[in-house]
Amino acid sequence: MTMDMNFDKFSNLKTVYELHKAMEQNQVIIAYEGEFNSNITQSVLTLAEKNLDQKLEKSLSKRRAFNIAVECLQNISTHSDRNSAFPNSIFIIGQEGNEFYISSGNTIKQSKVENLQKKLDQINNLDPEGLKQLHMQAIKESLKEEESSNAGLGLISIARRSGNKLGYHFVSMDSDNSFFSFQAIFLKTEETS
Amino acid sequence: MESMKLQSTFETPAVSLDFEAGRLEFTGRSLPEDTTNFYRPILNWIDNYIQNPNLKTEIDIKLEYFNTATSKVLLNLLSKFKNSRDVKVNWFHYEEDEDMLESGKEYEELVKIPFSFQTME
Repeated sequence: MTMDMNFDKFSNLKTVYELHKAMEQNQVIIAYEGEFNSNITQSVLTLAEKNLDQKLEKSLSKRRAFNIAVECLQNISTHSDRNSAFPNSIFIIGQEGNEFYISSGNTIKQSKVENLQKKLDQINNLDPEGLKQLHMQAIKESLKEEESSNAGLGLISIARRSGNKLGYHFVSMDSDNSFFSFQAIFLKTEETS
Repeated sequence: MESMKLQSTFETPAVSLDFEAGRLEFTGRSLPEDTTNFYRPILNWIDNYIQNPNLKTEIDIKLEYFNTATSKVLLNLLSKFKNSRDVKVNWFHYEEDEDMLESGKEYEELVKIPFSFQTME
């Protein structure tokens, strides 16, 4: 039995290698693709924390990375809809030198795209002081509203910890759904303590 | 009034609500997506406490992480003491964790009760 033969018989074997290569090239630390629920979120978070501990030890950078990971994962599980035609989401943490990135991708209703884009643009146009003001205003308002409105607050919190513009991209999947790709990057800071 | 104690978990803090000492303590991390189940009994306890509080109340917030869902609960929780007399929040942060310090300053501005900022090991 030769190795080539396996590639014919088990078509997935090629994918294993290709995924492995792609992940190495993109310096992926951790990636999960599939359905998300609170148990899975917690498992992914546990794994993410172990990896971040190794890369960043106990530092402000690690705390920021972990905080961003929590908000990203909880945004996914807030938005994901098991009954939708596209129930799967993706979560990735990666590193390129001193730059870390935390990405997520999930399907959202077309009808929510415009609002989300507005929110993201608003956040990206603010400086740190503006973000602080927006955060204080949003948290005050959130008390008056019902549970549903965590997402705006989560995005503001991610932007503040990232210290960079939030990356995003929408792809239309069908007449009802769009795929929302999101990325927060941050630089590992030189620790003073 | 009974005191209340909860052990920490991966996503919830250790909680100690001590009526005799007038001390409320939250230690660890608070990351639950749905904060209602965890925080409802705590908020109920506080509602009862402020009806008949200790002469002096200290609230120790020793959190390493909290998510945005918790940030809302925290504002709600601290706001309950707005009209209480002799209440103080001891807001702890790791020395290098300027984000946690800034969060504390925001709450101080939002709830307008006395805060004291302290570092933890």
